[in-house]
Amino acid sequence: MTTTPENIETVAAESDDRAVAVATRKQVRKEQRRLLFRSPSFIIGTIIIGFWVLSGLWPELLDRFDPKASVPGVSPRTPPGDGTWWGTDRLGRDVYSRVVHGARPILIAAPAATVIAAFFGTLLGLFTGYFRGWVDEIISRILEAILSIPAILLAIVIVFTFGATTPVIIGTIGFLFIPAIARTVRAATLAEAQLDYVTAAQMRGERSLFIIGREIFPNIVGVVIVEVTVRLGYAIFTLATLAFLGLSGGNATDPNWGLDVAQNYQQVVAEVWWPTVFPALAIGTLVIGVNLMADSIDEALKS
Amino acid sequence: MNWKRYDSIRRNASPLEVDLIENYAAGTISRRDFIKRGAILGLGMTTMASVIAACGGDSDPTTTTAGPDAGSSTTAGAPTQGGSMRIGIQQGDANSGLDPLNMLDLGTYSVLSQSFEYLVGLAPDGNIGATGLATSWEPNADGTVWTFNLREGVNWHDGSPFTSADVAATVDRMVIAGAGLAGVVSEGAVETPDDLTAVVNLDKANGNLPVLISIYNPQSLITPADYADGTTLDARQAGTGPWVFESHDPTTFTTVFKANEDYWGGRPNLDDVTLIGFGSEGARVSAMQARELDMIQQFGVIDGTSLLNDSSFTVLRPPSANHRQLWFNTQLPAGGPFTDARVRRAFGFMLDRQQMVDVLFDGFASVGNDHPVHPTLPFFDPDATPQRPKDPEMAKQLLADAGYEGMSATIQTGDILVSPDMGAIVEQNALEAGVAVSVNVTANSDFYGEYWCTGAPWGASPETGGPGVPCGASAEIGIVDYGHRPTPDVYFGRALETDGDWNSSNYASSEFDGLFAQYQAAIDVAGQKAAVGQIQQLLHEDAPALYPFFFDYLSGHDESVSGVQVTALGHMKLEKATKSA
Repeated sequence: MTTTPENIETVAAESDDRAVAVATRKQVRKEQRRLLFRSPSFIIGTIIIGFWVLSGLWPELLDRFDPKASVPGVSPRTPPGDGTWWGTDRLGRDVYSRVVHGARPILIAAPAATVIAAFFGTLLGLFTGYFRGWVDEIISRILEAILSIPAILLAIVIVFTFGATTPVIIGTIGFLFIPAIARTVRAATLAEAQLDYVTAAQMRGERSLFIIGREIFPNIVGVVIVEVTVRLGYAIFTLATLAFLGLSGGNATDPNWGLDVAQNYQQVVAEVWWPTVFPALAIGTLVIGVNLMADSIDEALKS
Repeated sequence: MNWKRYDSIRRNASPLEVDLIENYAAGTISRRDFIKRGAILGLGMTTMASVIAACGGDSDPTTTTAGPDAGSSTTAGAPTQGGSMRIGIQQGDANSGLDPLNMLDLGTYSVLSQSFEYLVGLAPDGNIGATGLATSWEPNADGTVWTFNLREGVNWHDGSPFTSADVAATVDRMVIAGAGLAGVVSEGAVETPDDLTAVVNLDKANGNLPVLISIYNPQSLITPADYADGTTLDARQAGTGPWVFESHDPTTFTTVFKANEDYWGGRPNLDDVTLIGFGSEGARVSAMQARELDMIQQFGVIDGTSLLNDSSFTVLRPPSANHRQLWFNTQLPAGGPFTDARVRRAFGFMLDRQQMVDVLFDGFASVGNDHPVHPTLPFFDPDATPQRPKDPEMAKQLLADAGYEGMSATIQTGDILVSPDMGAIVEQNALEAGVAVSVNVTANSDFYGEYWCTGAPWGASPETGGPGVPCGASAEIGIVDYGHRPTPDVYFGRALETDGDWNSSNYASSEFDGLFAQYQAAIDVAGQKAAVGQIQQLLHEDAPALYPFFFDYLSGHDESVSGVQVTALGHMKLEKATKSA
């Protein structure tokens, strides 16, 4: 197209429009961020998660004793007090130090599993939502079949079959969360694919991969982020449940919240509640922290 | 020493008895051991008392430790008549049901031993005694034939008389089912010269036969001659015991018994007893604490802290050889660290046995010395080996000699009370000797099948094993549980003898096998002690497995109850029990 006086205006108008669109998008994002950072639930969630991330990265900064050795001079099952903040467990190990050190395994495994689920789930969701037809039919039915089985039951079967090692557990949880993410992304893609800009891209003769990757995906990133944060909370809970059932990878004496609850809960009737309650609270706060974040991100994106 | 009296007792004694009496007179065995061994040989209490008197009373320091028996509670004052008791027991196995021959758990033992009785019963001191259906027994000169004299005037609950034919039929059923008599007697071994005499012909000499058909072999309950294998008490009510079966609810494992008005030992004081099954120990302890129960069959130290601190609760501690075994696979993988005895001994020097006793059992346990012979057994040799101390430096030295300094290992264990925690302490202890140990805990079903022994039938060779490697697939190092036995025959024969079906160590030592055979064939304490002493030394040195502690069996009841006697195998003798209002 040659530039003639007649169409200079149109070009200028087009670029103006684009500039306005970009500016608005930037403004919207800025506004969303502002809302997010002011949201009390986001702030509380960040503080909680921040504490656990710090515990996971540098537990030595926060602990008071070796989490695996009996505290010298303190007898087993000593209630919380001056010597040990959260008391000692049945082997005389410091409950507080064990909880602090217990953050690392769960903060490695849960995000890893979620990343696996997010990657494959998003990919499947985008493809099924965009192409539809028989590909969608087959994949969606398979995903629904997996979804119809209770996740924890399936997890037990898979982990039992392949052995309770950390990679197997991460892989299993990742695999189990693929359908949920795929369905959400598919729904968002279905809606996006009806919009004019997609039709325009198709008219231009863009390749499908390009349309999915460069046109649709950026517009559903928000949905993916929310879904991933929600799944992260579920992943933490599923990991803790598996550990509670004795299916945790690695050394059975390593600090592990779910396992510690399992090994100590029978003593609650004997009024030795602290070795159970504190790791349970740790699981609870981490899940709540993640969910608070997920909720506030969701709200900010919808505004 | 009263020689005249001593000689007159000796003249009337059988060769085995003479041997025992001479041993005692010569001072080679203590008074306690003399009484224990005498009970097994069938010496009467009066005879034993005469021997002790003839030998000049007691100069033996061990007698001072024999205080009131901790496995029973005594009745204070005149017994109260009537009343009932509710007892919390371990939930029984639903698969075997109330089958006296095929039962496998403490809950069922306690139920069936209310109606049925043993040939050889329980003495007040926790040893075996003539309190069951046999009033006396004696071996022939070489211990290959044992004669049991049965109690007169005993009737089955339906009124028919109890006779030697019932004993013969029960022993035959036990032989066929393999209930602890495999290799000892064969089918048809019991002769019945008259209704009140049973003569048992053994395959080979055995000095411990009475133990094998006593309360300490729980499946040896005497049942009627026509009580076919697999018959359950709820299907066919029977027994000679103090309690008559009333009802059984398999879902809650609750069984009700009524007092046997015609019991040969006199009618029980109480009118009825109810045994209630509990799936979890915590729930059982809570029910006892809330006094929904009058008695609790068993509880652990850690879950039962509240009961131990309860001043109105009477704790019963019967003698117990319960233990955990830390085994090493001595043969596989070929060339692995644990095939070297120095590495195995090094682990022995790492362990802090006292820490285990204190932390795992709150002191309700005793330190072991890396062999399964409980120190209270008559043939235990206290001088065989010095107590192995905790010595990380020695452990390091042994590992350096073997070329395994700073090695690492993974202990396999099942999710059984105490075992994972014991693993955690081994891990702590090993670290002091520079050895990195990790602990892998698996569900019990997986653990026994995959890491311990593959569960192949007796004598068969699992696929990965072969002759002398009965548990080929067993882990290099692991922790497994063993319950109480009154003699170490099972610990020796099944867990350590070459080709033993529980031999997770794959221990194949012709020296050990020879000593074990020598011990079994010995029918006198001196012979048993000579063999056992050498076994203690050999196991201590070879260390196919470590035995860091023996722990107590804890039972108990409310202070309003008295006159109960228990064993570490779950039995509760309630015929003399009373309950004050």
